[in-house]
Amino acid sequence: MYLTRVEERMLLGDYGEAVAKAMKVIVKVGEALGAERLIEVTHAHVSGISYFNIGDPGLEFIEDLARLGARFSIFTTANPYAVLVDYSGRSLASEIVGKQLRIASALRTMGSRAFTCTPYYVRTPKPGEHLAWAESSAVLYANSVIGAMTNREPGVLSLLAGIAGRTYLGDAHRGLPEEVEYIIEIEKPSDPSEAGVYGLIAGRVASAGIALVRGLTSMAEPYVKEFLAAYAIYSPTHIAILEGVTPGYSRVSLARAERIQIGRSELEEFYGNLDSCESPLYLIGCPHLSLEELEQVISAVDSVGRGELWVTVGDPMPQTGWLKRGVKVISGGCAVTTKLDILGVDCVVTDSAKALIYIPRLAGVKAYLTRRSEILRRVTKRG
Amino acid sequence: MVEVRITPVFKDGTSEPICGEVIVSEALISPLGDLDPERGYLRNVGWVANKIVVIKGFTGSTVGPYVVYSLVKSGNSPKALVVETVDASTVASAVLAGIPLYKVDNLSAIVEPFRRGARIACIESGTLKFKGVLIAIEGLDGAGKTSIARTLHEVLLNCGFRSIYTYEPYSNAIREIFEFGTLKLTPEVEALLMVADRYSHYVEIVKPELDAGGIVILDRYMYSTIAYQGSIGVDLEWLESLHRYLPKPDICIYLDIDPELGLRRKAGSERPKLKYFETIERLKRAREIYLDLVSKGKMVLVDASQDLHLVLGRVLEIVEERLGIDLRRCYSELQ
Repeated sequence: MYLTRVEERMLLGDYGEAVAKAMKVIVKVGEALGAERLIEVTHAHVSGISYFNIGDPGLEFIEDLARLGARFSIFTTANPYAVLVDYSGRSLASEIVGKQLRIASALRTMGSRAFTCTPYYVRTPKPGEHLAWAESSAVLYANSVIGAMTNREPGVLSLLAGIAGRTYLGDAHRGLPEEVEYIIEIEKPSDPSEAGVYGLIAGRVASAGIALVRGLTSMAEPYVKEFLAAYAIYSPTHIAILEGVTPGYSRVSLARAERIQIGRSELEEFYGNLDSCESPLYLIGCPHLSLEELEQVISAVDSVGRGELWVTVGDPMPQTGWLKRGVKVISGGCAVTTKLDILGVDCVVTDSAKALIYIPRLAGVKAYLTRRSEILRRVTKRG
Repeated sequence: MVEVRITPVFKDGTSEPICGEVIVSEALISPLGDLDPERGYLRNVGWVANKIVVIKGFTGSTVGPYVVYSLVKSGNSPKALVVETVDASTVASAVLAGIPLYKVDNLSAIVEPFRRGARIACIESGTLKFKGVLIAIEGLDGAGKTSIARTLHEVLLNCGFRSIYTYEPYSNAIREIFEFGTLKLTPEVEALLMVADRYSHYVEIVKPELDAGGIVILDRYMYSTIAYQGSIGVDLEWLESLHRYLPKPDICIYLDIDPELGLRRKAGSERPKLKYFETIERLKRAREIYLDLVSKGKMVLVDASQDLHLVLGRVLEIVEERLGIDLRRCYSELQ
């Protein structure tokens, strides 16, 4: 692999042990994947920081790095960690909380600016900017909506890219693909949760290549965000070309693409019978809400009368209080990567298609999908 | 000999050949959940420390590198990792942990010989080569060769290795000539008969097993002829030259015992066996030749006057060290 003189010196340890370690991994990964050189990046976003996901091995690794003197050389944000607030008076064991806080603290020591799965609300990249982001929903958002360029980095690589300020030059950094393999046409979603379900179906049918998606033009941002977050679950690609949204989408050739239509009739099976969930935890905010969405949610709830409502947002998020009208606004937390079963949660009702898939796998409880308006109607005390 | 092409992805100055025991999984491994880094145990597959670990690949990219990293911190690092699917996360895992990583195009080329029991392999110049292993147990009668060789064989089987136990003389015809034949047996004729027996044993029994990647444990091999026929005056160089077309053993263990103690031990045994050789003076000369071969590095000496379990312990140690495998765990399970 071609390295600049500075990069060679970084690799040799002239910039310290941590930088050398980071460079070694990035260069080897790049070589193995056939990259001819590295690319400087301006913003790293690190995934894999929930103690429930990475456990003691991850904690040790991140603390070892911090102890070695590792510091982020570029703007770096990290994913949210496990939810540390109580659920109906029950909280996580103090050992788990302690270890989760140690992970966050080591990342802060290295210079992480925020804990969120929507880093584009903290610092919005410019079109054409090179990034090293790991969270799949954010990667798709950066490439498909903003027109920035990022590989779909593994968590540890984004961490090391934050230190080295570089990553390997993967396909994502060469701009839009010349052609797509699928054209996916969706009917107009009437709510962000529906956009999420379209995302699930689309990601599954187009998992073997890059797709152009028709039907999200001029949709509000939450729709696009939910679509992409769910799309990335089954599709391994770094981008979905969104007609009318992705900068430069019209240049992509559709000549050899297979056309797939997804209609409203396919959505309903994803919406479960909420009555099966007797005392639900209601969850909004996967991916994290923007400030505008948060304000809409809070203003729609007079006060929470039934059940418990968690709304997850990034940390820092200005102007958010701890409890608003009974809504638990959780900054920097992610319910999906928290073992909700040990908190005593029976089941979750959410408006996020991504959470619908991941909560049973990661959080250990059943999940049911509904529309956001329905969640707000259910939790609001009447009269 | 089973040989599979593999491509180095990350070597980090590790010098080849990398030899050791192979463990294989055809499944994708999710490090969080499948791999216990504290104990170095891969669920449904086995212990990974010091092994050549062959898997389809890793899934669950977020945590994998951290788990593999902590495997090394707990001293359970594998010798090498061979995968079919290489992604960024797998490479990052290998680099962070400093474990050499190779890619195999066709995993089943490794799975098949492994299923048939082949376990010992070397990675060198772009290939993973399953190796048969020839272990010869030598010594005077009464040294405990048969007990040791059989137990070693059982331990290896218990550990999942393909292993056979076999002994010389091999053919009944040769035995009969020695015990009941009317042929005039000069020392040279004896030697030629023994070596002829050995060649046919090798071709019919030993070589096919080695080719399949098995471990062959021989109760006596070429050095028996050199020591015994040498002890009655046959030229040692000539004796050695008769074995030119047979492979030297990979491991040759000489169980050393004083001839008189050996004979006393044998007295308790019922089988009247080749009495012909057993006179003390000859046995003493045979022992001298054995000891000379040990001093030339052709055999490893183990003091066989000790209790059998101590002798066995030392033999297992030698085999473990030479083959880079772990037998203690299987041995204790066998107890």
